[in-house]
Amino acid sequence: MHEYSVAEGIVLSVKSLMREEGLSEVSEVTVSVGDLAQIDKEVLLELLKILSSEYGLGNVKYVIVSEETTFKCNYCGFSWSWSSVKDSILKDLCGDIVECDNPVHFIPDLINVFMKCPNCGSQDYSILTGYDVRLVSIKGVK
Amino acid sequence: MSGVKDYKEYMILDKLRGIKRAVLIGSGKGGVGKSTITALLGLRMRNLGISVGILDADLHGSSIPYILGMSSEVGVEAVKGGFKPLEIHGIKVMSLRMFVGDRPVPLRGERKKEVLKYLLSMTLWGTLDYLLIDLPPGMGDEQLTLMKYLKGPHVVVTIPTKTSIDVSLRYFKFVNDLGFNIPVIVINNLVNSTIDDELLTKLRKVAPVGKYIIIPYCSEIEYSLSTGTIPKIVIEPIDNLIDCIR
Repeated sequence: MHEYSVAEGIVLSVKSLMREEGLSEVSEVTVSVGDLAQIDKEVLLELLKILSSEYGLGNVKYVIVSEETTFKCNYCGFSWSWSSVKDSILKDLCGDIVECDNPVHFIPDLINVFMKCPNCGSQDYSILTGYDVRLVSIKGVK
Repeated sequence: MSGVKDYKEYMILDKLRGIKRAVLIGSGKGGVGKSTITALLGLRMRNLGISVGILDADLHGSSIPYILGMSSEVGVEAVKGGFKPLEIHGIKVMSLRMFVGDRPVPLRGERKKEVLKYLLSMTLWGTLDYLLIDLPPGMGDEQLTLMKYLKGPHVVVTIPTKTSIDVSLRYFKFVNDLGFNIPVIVINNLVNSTIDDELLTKLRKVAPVGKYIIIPYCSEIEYSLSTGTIPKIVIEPIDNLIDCIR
């Protein structure tokens, strides 16, 4: 369900950017998805196509690029990736279900509430790469 | 075109479209009763037939759901298009507590800004006469982020002590210098002290707002609010406060 909100946000942004940049048509939109957001990329792509049509954007090609989320501890300097800890964190959040609607899926910035640095246990760390869902580029004609 | 803006920025305007007026309740100082005043305003507005929502923007010290008697077990519900606010005593409430429960929230500035942008861009308020924003103490990320998107009037809350009034006056200046309307200062007498004329004179001199409202001490306020009722003693001052922000 959250994928719908993200897709709608992207389509609304593309529409607004078209107006701001004076584009008459958008041909390609690239979206980067950090794996921390746990977004189902196939569902997102499908929803982007449906909503583009509903919002009158026409036949836009969406390119979804996956990005690995990495962290660096501000306390001990240790670096790690979401993929290396994902299973244990999701088990805490979702129980025995493999994936679920969880707070980090809804708001990736809340990861600091639910995960500690694997080296020192601090909750003070930064997201280095793969932050959230980002609109990376738009190609169109004026 | 590359390096385009955060998609949440565009959604925020869309989600706030149905709100007739946003009122920000702040102080600069902690423990002066901002959340209590916000809850009182929300309940009284609801009793008067005004549709009202509360955004609990105190990310580290969220207390609105607790004050209004919500169980800490209640989680957020994601529906088509965003997060459904919880309805407590007829008030629509959005709070980070619905995402994190009783866990501590250790977030640095940039993360806090993004969390607030998520709450603003994803909460399905629908149409509301008033959205009340319960601000945390301070003059930092939360205030600056919310003031970018919500241009409504501010209610400044203080308690009748020198320390609180000193910080609240700095907060007043901070908000006033940014061009926001401050129609009223609330003196919340939660310490049950005699209100010193000298302090009031100083307040009036430094912060010449339209009105000062004193909320009298009320020992049963916490219990009343958790059951969705308002103690009689505070109804009149809260009605005066509503008149100030209309």
